[in-house]
This record gives sequence, C-alpha cells and structure tokens, in this order.
Amino acid sequence: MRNEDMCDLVFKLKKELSSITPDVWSEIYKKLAEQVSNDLLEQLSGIPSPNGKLLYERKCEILEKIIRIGA
Amino acid sequence: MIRDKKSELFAKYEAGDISVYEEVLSMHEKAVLEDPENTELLHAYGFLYERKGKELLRKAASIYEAGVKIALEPQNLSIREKQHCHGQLISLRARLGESQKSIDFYKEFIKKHPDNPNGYIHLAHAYFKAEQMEEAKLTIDAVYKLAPKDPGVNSWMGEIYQRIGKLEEALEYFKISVELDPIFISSRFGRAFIFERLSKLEEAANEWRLIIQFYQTNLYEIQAVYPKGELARVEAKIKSSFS
Repeated sequence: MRNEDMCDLVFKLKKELSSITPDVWSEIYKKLAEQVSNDLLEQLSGIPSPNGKLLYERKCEILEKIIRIGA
Repeated sequence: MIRDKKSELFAKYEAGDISVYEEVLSMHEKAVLEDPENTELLHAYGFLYERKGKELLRKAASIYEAGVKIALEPQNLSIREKQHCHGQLISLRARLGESQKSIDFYKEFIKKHPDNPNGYIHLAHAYFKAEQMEEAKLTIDAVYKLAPKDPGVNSWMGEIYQRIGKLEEALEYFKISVELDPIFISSRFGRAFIFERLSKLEEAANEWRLIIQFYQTNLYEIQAVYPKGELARVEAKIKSSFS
C-alpha cells in the first residue's frame, strides 16, 4: 500500500481509531502529519511548474543581479 | 547612449547607492520639464519613482516580518488574531516578485511543524499568489487530509478549486468554510460570484443578502455599502431577465 493511500485510510478511520485509542490518537496524528508533509515536500521539490510566475520571477531576479554587478 | 552626470548618477542609484536618490530625481525632473517628449527620459524618471515605491514596500515587508516573528512564538502559534501579518507579507512579496521567499519560508515551517495546518495554508496562499496552481492544489489537498474541518483550509480549497475551474467543488468548500466559522465571510463573496457566473442569479442575490446581514449584525453598516451595491446589480439582472 502506498503511503498516501495508507494516510487516507487512517484518516477515514479517524473516528473509530480516536474512540478505540484516545490516548494514542495524537501520536498517530503526528506520525501521519509527518508522512503527509514529507510526501508533499518531496512532490514540491525541484523546478516549479512552468504554468505560473515563479520561473519568470527567478529570471527577473537574476537579470537584476547582473545589472547591479555590471554597473 | 548619452554619458553625462545625470546618467552616471542614475547608474549609481540602479546599482544600489540610495544616497544619490534626491539628486538624481531632481535632475530627471528638470530634464523632463525641458524635454517632455523624450521617452528615454520618461522611462528613467518613472523608474526612479518605481524603485522608491519598491523601497517603501520592502520597508512594509520588514514590519510584517516582525509581526510574523511574534506570531511564530510557540504560545502564539494557534491564536488566529496573531496571524494577520502572514497573509499580508505573502501578498506583498508576490507584488514585489519575491514569492519564492515566502515559499521557502513555509516549506521550512512545515518541516518543523508538520501537524500545524497554518503552515500549509500559508504555503498554498504563496503558491496561489504566484499563480502556481499545480503546487497550490497539492498543498491544500495535503492539509485537507490533516484538517478537513478547518474553516481556513476549506476557504482555500474553495479559492484554489475555483481558480482551476472546479466551480461546483469550490461552492461546496466555500459553504463549509463559512458554516464552520462565519468570520470567513469572503467565502460567501466567492459563492456569490460563482453563482452569478453559473447564471444562478437568485442564489447569487441570496449570498449578497447574507453578506449584508453579516456586516450589519457583526461589524459596521458602512461595510455593507459595497455588498448592497452588488445586490442591487444582481437584482437588476434578475429583473431584466424577466422583461
């Protein structure tokens, strides 16, 4: 089972799990949150999608630095 | 290319020497008065004001940064009223073309506080402002798994789903957001505009009525003026559709 699917499953069972194991639900939640954040940050790493402003912003930033060095 | 005192000072200012600003501005002001149709001069003169404007925006950003620093203190992390500087700083940086700074910051925040929904909300906001919808959707979908009943999460689900054209889903998320917490009144604005776009004018008018009621009951009558104008506009559209 993929991590993402496992997270989905556990959240779907949240009500049951938190009533069966109220003392450990916060720990389970923290672990799942770590998993969710790791997966997300992995997906967001690398060059941004070209359908947005970030690549253009980067180009402008570099050009501005070049102007400053050249002046 | 002209090489004179004015151009030299301009180059110095462009390179970061702000001490020459008043002198170079006054030289350009004078030159433009003498030669008002010189487009090169107008370009440089406008640029000087633009750079000054950016300088002021950066000053504002540094003030918001101080507010964000306070909001990040452990005892303030979950107090919504202390979080306003985050959103303002994200918007301001986007205007300066510096969204990457916000993105890097909130990625680090999420690494440190993976169970705090606010970090994800701010990251989604930063991507949204940079028009990086792919990344904004990934981020908001991720935090939705962690906090599906958070009004802020639902509000941003609405914004992002609306932006990618999933209007029915956006309507639902906006609805949940404002039902969870009426202070998320902007979700009703979103619903009103979507309903109008879908030609559901009665539903749009109803949203404006609820918005007006919210401001009259909870805030100030003056804040209901714009929504009243919108309601009148939509009602006129309904009337004309019957004539």
